[in-house]
Amino acid sequence: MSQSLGRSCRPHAYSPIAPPGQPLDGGNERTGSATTVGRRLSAMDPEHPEDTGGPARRGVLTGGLTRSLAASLIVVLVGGTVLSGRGAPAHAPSQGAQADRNAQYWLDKLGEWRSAVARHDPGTLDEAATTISRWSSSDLRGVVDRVKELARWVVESRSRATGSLEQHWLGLTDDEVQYGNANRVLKRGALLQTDIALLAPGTGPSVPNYGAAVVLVVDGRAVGQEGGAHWELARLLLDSIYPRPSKDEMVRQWYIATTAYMQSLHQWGQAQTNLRRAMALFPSDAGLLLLNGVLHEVFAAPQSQNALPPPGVRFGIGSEKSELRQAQQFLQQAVKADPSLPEAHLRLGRVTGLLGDHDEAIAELKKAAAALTDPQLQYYAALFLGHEQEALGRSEAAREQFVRAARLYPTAQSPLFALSHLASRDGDPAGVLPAIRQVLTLPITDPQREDPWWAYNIAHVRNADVLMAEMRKVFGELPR
Amino acid sequence: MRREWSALLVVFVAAGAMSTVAQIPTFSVKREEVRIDVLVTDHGKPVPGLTSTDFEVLDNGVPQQIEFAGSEAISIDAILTLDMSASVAGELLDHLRSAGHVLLDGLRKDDRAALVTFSHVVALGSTLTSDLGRVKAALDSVQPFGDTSLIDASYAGLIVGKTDFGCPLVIVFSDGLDTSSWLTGDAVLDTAKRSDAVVYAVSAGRLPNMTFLRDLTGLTGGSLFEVESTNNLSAVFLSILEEFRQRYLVTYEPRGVSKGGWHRLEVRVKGRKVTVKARPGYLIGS
Repeated sequence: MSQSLGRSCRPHAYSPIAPPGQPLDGGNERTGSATTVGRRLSAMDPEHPEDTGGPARRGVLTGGLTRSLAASLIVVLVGGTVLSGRGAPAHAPSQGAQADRNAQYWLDKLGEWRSAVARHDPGTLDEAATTISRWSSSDLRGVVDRVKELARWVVESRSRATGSLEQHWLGLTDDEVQYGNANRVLKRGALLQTDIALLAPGTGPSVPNYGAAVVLVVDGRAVGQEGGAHWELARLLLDSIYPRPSKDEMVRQWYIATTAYMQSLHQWGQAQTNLRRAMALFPSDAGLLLLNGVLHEVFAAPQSQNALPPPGVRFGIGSEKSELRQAQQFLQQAVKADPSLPEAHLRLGRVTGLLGDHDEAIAELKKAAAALTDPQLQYYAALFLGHEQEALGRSEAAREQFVRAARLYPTAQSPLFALSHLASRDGDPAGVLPAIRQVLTLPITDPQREDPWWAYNIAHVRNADVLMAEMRKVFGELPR
Repeated sequence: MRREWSALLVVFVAAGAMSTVAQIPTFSVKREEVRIDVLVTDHGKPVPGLTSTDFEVLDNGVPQQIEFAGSEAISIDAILTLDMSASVAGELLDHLRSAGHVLLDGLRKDDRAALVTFSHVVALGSTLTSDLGRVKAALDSVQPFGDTSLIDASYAGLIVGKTDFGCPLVIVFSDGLDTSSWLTGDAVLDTAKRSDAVVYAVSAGRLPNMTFLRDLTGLTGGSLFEVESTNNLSAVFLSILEEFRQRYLVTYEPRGVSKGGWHRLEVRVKGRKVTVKARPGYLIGS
């Protein structure tokens, strides 16, 4: 994994978040090409010989496949469980006519969704995305559950016979059925739901237990709530990737790009939900570990710790110390997975310092500083090194670092405040003045006052747009 | 806290505005003098007419010889440190500007004012000046935007307030949590312990964890006002000014105590059952 990230990082010096193009473990399918979509079961993951064309593991989907279309739908898809409590049309198995109507309803919805998936142009809120964005949560969930069931049938079917109803419903090619996977539809479907989540964030259903409910916070106060339904639907679709999502580079790429994008928009709650699933799939991926480390670093910050939740709600974050420890653990794993990630060293140094181990922090920060070439990251390294030296009472060394940071960004106020406070702390009144005078005579307007410190929380994802565009491109190249 | 400190700081503040260069005083006095702003109330009402013989000051437990105590004819240096982040836009901005004007109108001829504004950017709207019209104009011209560097701005307010002309009153207003400061709350509190300034803070809206502003005002002998609505913000600002005017300036040259470190202060009024509010101490050296 680390090798993959290391290779991927080179064209992107600003971030360790990997761009697409590198398959995991070298032996997995390349899903970006129409000719390689799907593989024969006999060529499946050797770790799972049960997938190599042997008897179907569970026959849950096979019983009614020869029945009429509507009846099959009932048996195969409705089943009386998927819809329970979700507000979809009532299902009454004992009443055949009603059941047929329900089956037809879901068949129609499935057809609409699949058509929208095929029509959707990646990265746009086109007519297809707009249509699906207006669906109710029960319709969305009902269709996604059915797509997943059908995809599982395709994988588990022994016959590999083409021309089945399932093939028709999912719009699969004969090759896809014979090779036993529906990855193309699942991935294009995930892309559609992703674009809706990103481009029409206010339109998604916000059912509390349907994806993570995220509280929007401004100036420390909760100002609203946002559902994560479309994100969750995308994740559910990717969960059904064959042979396993954890072996699929496009899935990894999706998690990297979407998490980075969420973080770039300060959507820490959505990113937290995304990362939980991502870490379960790719536990040793350096890029995801870095994203997770930053997430907990942000959760430890005063603006997260002091935010006021709505009445009766508790934010899903721990104490400052526990969040810092989690951040430290993830960042340690990140540098272990890929020692060439200077940004992970930088953040690990900062977090270690915040936990009170200043000597170790300095060692880590020096390691990072030696490898950094980007002025913005060098600026952070200088600020953090100065802060750690100050904590150890080494005023001269601290001053040197703060001056270095100030030279890198002459209009930044943070190193000037740091220099002034350092003098104040040392009982040096003459030293307090020049730096603050410089701050207060800087221009008032924001564009002339660039201070990278203000963007520190999202500095590691400043190529999020690129990652997202590349992910969309790869997913969008799949045949419609 | 010490006079030579303040003298140096006056030079700095004035240097920030060429128009005030002529006012820069020179100081040859090198002796140390501790200045304490003291509010004495009886059942919430200020107690007037006290003199130096009424006060008793203990510096690290050692009684001190008070040189001066008075509340009349002491000019005020009011440093308005105002949140101009994006959340202030709209009605709140109108209330804030009105409150600023009311406070400036309440200042006297010998008083001065400065304006520090902050979003994520900390900026000096106006240096300390007796030209209050200039401060008003600066206040009216600032437009809200961006995030909140409350802690950095509070530090800037303390530094701008370090003068020898008058009693520094720093009024900090914010409607949100700090989101972008570099300095930590502890760092600013450390500086506050070394400063003469009295900080009053006004926090608008229901905010969690106001520890920083509570500690800052407590350490400097000021008060924190938490207001649900800003409809009466002008009245709050004016009440701060009026309360500050009722304070006594008590000065002494420290004797019998070590020079550096934290000096715990106890200020009492002899023979009276009154409430005394003053900074709990001051810090000298590193």
